[in-house]
Amino acid sequence: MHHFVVRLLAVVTFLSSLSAIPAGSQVKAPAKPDSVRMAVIGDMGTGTMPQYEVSQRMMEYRATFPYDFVIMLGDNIYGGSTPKDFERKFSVPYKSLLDAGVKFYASLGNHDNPNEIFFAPYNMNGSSYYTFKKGNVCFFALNSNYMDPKQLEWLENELKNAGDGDWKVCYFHHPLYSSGKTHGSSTDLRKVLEPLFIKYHVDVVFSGHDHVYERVKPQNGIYYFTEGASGELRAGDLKQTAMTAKGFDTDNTFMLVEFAGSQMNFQTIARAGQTVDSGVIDRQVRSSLNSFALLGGTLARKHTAKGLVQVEIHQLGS
Amino acid sequence: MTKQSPVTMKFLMALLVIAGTFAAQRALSSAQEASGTAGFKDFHDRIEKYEKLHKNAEKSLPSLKKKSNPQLIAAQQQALVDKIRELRSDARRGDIFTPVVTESITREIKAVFAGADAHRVQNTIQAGNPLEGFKVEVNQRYPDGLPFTTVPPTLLQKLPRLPDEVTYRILGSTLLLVDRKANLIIDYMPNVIP
Repeated sequence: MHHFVVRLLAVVTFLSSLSAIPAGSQVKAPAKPDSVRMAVIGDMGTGTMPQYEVSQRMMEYRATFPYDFVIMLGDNIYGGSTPKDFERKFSVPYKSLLDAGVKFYASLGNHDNPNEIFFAPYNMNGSSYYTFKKGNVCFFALNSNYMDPKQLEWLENELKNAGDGDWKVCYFHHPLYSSGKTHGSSTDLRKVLEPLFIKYHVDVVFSGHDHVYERVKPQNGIYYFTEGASGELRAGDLKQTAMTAKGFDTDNTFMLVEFAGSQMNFQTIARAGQTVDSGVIDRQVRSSLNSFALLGGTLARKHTAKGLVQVEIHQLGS
Repeated sequence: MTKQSPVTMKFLMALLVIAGTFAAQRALSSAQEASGTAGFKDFHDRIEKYEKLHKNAEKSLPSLKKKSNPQLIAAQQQALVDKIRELRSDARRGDIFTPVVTESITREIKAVFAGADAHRVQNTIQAGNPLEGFKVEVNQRYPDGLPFTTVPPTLLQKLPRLPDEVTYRILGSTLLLVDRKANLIIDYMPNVIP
């Protein structure tokens, strides 16, 4: 206990010395009443200073963008799963958020002990894949370490039952689309998951594993984000590819996301505090385009006819 | 009796050879299928036996709540490991992956690595950093902190289904059978993953 307190004090002292949010960098999302607000972190569980610093930024931004929960994209705890590992790599770095009542919803990465599914603050309730709903957003946390037929059958059933009225957000560790040099796209996983995502109109997918940030251009109408730099970082690991809409690989990052009606605002913030990406996804418009595309096939996707539909990603600053 | 021309005779002989080849191939394929089916049935029976053993082991221990703390999780995992080791003190490689089972599963794995998805499957395993130089033994814990190689979904679709208590894992070129909660190796097949 004494050791825990000493460590905590040291961390708090250090973090207090960090500069405040840089001038000109502010929350981009509107923080509308009754919106669904969350933070997104991946590959965070190192127990090193970058993880603590990212956590500090998360807390600072929460003062103006009060999010209620955090989704975790795997590799939550690196290098072992003793009680001390949980303390140093999760409970201490995120203590401020936990004390503020922020809930965490974890998915498993390839470095995670499978028994993390029983760890109370991860809210996995003993399952390596599960679903939950917040407002008009349905979340599907998957176990991409082991995508067996049973999990696929479960996922198809859940996606079908969720209907088409709400947002559908899937998150798991291994990215289906990634320009990371070290890992890259998980094409075998893509083969089994993407058809389901398309069939049941999944809107957004978050993954980690590659220790960078990347927003990929929509693939078959679905938006893919890699956020694998919330503790770990592979500087310079992003290759130049045609699918990147925005990439960042020189500092740790986390994301803030707001779902308000048919719009999803996102903002990616670096450890140093600056915004490296932001935008708006309009689900209603995307659904219309998909419906139109179904009628017209590929042709409809290439044409955004004025007056019919309008799809834009608004770059609000970087 | 009419005399057959040499050309006709040769044609008939060729037809006989072709028919014989097809028949032999079908017989071989049927035999393989039969042994595959027998192999998988045997595997399912042995897995079911292990599943019962695991459930008995868990029943003998305080149950782990779905929301626990790390101390309880670690203690429960160790207690389960100890109990399973006690119940399977004479477990050996091949108790579940018998020669017949090994043959059936190896055939499936080879087919996947020779098929249209081979490059995707290979990339998945490579991307997961397959680990060599680690000595695998039955009843050994999968080392805490060692990352997992992703088991490719295409491969999982071809392997026999497992109950929730057991999972496949890949370590280098070895296919492991692992007790999920105990993180304990219960059998393994070396040199099957190309």
